[in-house]
Amino acid sequence: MIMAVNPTRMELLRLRKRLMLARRGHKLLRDKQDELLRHFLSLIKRWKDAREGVENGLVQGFGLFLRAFLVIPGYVLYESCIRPGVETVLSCSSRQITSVRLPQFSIEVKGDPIAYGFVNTTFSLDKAILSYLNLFQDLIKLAELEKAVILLAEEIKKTRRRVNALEYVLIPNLEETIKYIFMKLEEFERGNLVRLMKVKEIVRAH
Amino acid sequence: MDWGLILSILGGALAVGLAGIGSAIGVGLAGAAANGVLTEDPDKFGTMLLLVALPGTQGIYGFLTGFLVAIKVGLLTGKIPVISFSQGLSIFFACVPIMLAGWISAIHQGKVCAAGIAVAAKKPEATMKAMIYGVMVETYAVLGLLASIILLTGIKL
Amino acid sequence: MELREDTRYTYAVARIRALETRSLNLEKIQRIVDAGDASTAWRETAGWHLLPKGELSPENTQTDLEKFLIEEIRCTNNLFSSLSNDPELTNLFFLKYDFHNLKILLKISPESLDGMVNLGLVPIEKLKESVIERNFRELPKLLQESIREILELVKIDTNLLYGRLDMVDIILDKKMFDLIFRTLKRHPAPSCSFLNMLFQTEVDICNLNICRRFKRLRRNRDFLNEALLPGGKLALKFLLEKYENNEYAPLNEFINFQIATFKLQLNNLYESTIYTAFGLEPLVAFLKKREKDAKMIRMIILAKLQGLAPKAIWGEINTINE
Repeated sequence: MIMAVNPTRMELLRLRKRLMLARRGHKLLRDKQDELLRHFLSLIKRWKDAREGVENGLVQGFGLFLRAFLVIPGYVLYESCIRPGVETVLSCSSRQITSVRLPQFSIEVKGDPIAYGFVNTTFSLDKAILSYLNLFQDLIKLAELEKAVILLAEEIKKTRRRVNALEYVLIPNLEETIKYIFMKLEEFERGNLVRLMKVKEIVRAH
Repeated sequence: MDWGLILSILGGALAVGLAGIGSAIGVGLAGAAANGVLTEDPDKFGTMLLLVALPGTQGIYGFLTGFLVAIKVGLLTGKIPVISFSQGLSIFFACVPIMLAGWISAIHQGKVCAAGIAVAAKKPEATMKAMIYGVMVETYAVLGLLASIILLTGIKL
Repeated sequence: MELREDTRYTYAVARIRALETRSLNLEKIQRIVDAGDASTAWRETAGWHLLPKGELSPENTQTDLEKFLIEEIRCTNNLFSSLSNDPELTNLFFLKYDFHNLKILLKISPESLDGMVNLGLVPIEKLKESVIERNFRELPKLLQESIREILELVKIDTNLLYGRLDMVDIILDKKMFDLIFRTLKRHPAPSCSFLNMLFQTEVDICNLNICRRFKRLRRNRDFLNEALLPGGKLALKFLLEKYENNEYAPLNEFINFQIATFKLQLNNLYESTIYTAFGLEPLVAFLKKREKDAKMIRMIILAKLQGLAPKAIWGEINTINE
């Protein structure tokens, strides 16, 4: 699309500058996008592994807990788990990839997870509780990765939109406009020339 | 004082009394057990009836012995012969078998029957077998009765 | 010859024998396990119940199930105590509910009565009130002294060992068995030796299990010393020594063997009650069997709800029977 500009030499110079800038921006954004994609792909792979690990862990933990749940009377189970024996502290920091800030979580577990008596409960409950506790670290890691993936994906989308805007809209438009102005200017020149020739002819006829 | 008569009557009375006490305890035990079962399963009344009644026989044996003594010494006809001290003592001792056997066997029969009732509650098809064990205790009461009768008839007044 | 017969229980034993026909046997369990789903499995339990059998609603099957089974246990407990001539002894079997309620009261500042079971000697509202007000005059004599001691201990220990909530449970469990054995000594009855044997064997099995769990959890010897229950036949010193000097594998072997022995003893103890026509023993065996049955029914039906196949359910049943 040709922009609504005056076909003047001034404008042509301005547009040419803009085009150069757009081309450079495009290249930079392109590089950024590649970089983001590279991170994104490695992150996705890690996320997938973490997700699988957590899902397997949950299935396993649930299986263990089910065994405890079947054997231990309901009221005893309630009493045993009524107050957790551990205290967890979640701390949050961030790291930067290109222009994106990604969160980083870490937890600290204090205390003894097995905070119940041993007379009415069974070892299956210990196993379930311990497996859940182990899973907790992975779960936090997964949350971190998942958030990072979402943030990166958003950023990639944004960058791609910009790249596309530059590549398919701004740059062609600029090019077209420049071409138009250039042609227009040539047209003027040719018109001038014709006019000069006509004037010359008239002068010669006299 | 006619010691012979007194001893004879004492023998008969104790035979009835002690055997009766034994039977009462025995039937009491079996009855309590039967009631326990009836609480949960009233249909079992018929099957348990015999088991409850079984310890009652000793009382009857005791009574029979007492009756025989009464006939022997002529208490029923009023024609009481002269009974010497040794004859009276003999009659008393003749009553001892049913007295003791009836008394103690009835209690134990009561226990066996109470246990038998528990069996009947759990496995109705085994009721008859349980009853046979009860009847086995009965044997000794019957032997006591027989001994008492033989001894009584043997005594010449 | 000592005749260990307690003819006061003639009525009770006969009644129990009539009720025993309702207990679960292998065949009934098989039918429940093989049922298609939870509700048919529940229907298969017909005949076991002492109360009119309720229907499980499909929405909250689990809560319904727990409710029904608690009611059944309550009914059994009431029957048990009404048939008993030695309330001091039969009350010992309900102590575990009181101690359970106490544990909850001590672990969280009690606001609601959630998780507490109203099967103990003391109604839960009353227990809660007396714990809050620290006034135990209203409680049964049996509990008064014990609760006072427990409160002392728990106060000290929770201050010393912050976050070690398991100490509450451990202290209470120990105190409970302590109380049981003390009471048994104080009230001689013909069935005392049976009860003594029963609780002793239970303590031994428990202690052995604790040893194995501690080894797996890699706890130290001192903590084990605190957790072991008093009153068992196996001396605590012996257990501690075994624990310290053995790795997991040999210890496990030893414990497996011992537990198998004690379970056999326990089984023999229960079986011996068949031959006891007069006495408290058959009643106790009946109570324990009912509790075990309730546990079994709960397990099977919950397993059905979770969609476990009959074969897997049998596996679970075997692990609890082991």
